[in-house]
Amino acid sequence: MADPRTILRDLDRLDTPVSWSDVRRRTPGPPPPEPRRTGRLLGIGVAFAIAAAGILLLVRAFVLSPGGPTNRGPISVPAPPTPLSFTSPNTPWTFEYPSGWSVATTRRADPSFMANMLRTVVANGPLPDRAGDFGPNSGGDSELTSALGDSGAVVLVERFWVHAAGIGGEPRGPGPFARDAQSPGWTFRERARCEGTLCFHVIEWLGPKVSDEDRAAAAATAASVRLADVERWTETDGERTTLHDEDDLFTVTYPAAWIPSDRPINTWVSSPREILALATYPLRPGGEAVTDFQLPGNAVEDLGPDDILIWVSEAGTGDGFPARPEHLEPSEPCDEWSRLCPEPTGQAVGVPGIRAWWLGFRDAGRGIYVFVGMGERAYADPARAQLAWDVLDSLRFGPR
Amino acid sequence: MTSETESALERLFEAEGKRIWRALVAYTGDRDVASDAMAEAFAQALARGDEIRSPERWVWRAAFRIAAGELKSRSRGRPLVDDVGYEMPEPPSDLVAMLGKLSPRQRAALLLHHYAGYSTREVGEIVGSSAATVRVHLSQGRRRLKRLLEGSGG
Repeated sequence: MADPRTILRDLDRLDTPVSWSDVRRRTPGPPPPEPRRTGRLLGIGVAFAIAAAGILLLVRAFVLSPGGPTNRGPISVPAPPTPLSFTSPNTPWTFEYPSGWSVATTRRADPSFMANMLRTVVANGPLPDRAGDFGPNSGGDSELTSALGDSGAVVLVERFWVHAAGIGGEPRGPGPFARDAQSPGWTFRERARCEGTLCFHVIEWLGPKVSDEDRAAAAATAASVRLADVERWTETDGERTTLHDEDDLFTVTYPAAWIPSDRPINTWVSSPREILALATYPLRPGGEAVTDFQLPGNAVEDLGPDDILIWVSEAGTGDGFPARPEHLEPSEPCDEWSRLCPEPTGQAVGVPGIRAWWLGFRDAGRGIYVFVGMGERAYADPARAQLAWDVLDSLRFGPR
Repeated sequence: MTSETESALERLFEAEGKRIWRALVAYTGDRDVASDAMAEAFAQALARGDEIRSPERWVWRAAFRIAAGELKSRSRGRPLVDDVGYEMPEPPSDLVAMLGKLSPRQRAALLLHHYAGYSTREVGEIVGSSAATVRVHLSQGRRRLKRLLEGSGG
């Protein structure tokens, strides 16, 4: 499909019949209605209410009615449980769950791991200490299922992540319930949610004697899981960090000691728009223009001999930009501006002792500019310089 | 209201009015609703005068909210784009009809982000949801539009 901007540009062929004099003649009515953000909570509330109504019908059908109609007086209808909202600075997801259920979040990350894990466990009973270690069909999962008993109900929200993974993925499921071979009688079903740059899994995991009410509550909890309103989300194993930018839809992986700026550092130019400023040193916003007013002045001036600065900005759909090369590292030939030349100079930034490169490329239908600044000692040390090229190669962009 | 403010709004009307109206037509599928919503948004901006700090965003937001409210009260149970074909030149009517098959939130997200150029956070402020939710609507809307375009041979 063509870029949505291009498709919607077709609307420009329509001509408006409204004139300024129409506006001037008009007597304004009441203020426009404010949109409401209660839809999600309302949906969850309805889900829990339906679950409660279902239980009530079952109770009436199988417990209260066997003897035929009798005058039992009014039946008190229990109010549906009020769902609680789970949000945490330690997770990129949010969901609604029944009051009285237990919640715990576990993180497992280490440079030696093939994949790192973040998992939130929600259950209808007290959780054992290592609850976050177990998922269905995993060795030893009976430690959790035994603790909850046959009437247990669990919802897992989990994300297994590796650095510099691609952006994308399709939501799927939930699939049918499957048997848990490690915990006889327990069943589970899974769904995937992918929003922005992040994908995660949601699992309903139920004991053989789970009540209908808890089964419905687990289903409602699982259905309510959403990406939290995070602008940026970082995942680290202590050695490297991956930053997910959910506003500008990109990810980047860098040495854990490097420092991304949490605000634009170029205060001169708004287009192209800065989306990432990352360096081996703290970045000061602002500063006078050096040679090129598009550069972040203070950040360039602060760059020391061992330092590296990577600064990324975006300009439109990248029409006319060269394609992104397979690797972003100095190479011959450097005759296209998507390629880094082997021997840059500091002339471009007007500050002695700084090696600097400018490059531009098109990725995911976006025009990307990258500036790399490097101190002389960093440039002379191939292992240190390689850190910069690895960071550039780790950049993944999603379509706007 | 000062004459300066009124002049600024008139300049905004000249610069942005057509785009706002077109986006509203695509959002509502109804030229009358679009015209009414845009004129009302600007009229309300005129009435508020200097109270409005960012007139451009305010007018976009007000126009979409007025249109959404008007649409809700006018067209309960009625297809979104049942009568646009004879009023609009081809092919925008096809595009508007396809957009009409998206949910209102997907449609608003696509138009405000890809046509009006607002960030997902700003779109969230306009339609009253989070930036993350807007991104979901954008993603789903793009997928649906792609399928519709493929189905139409476009």
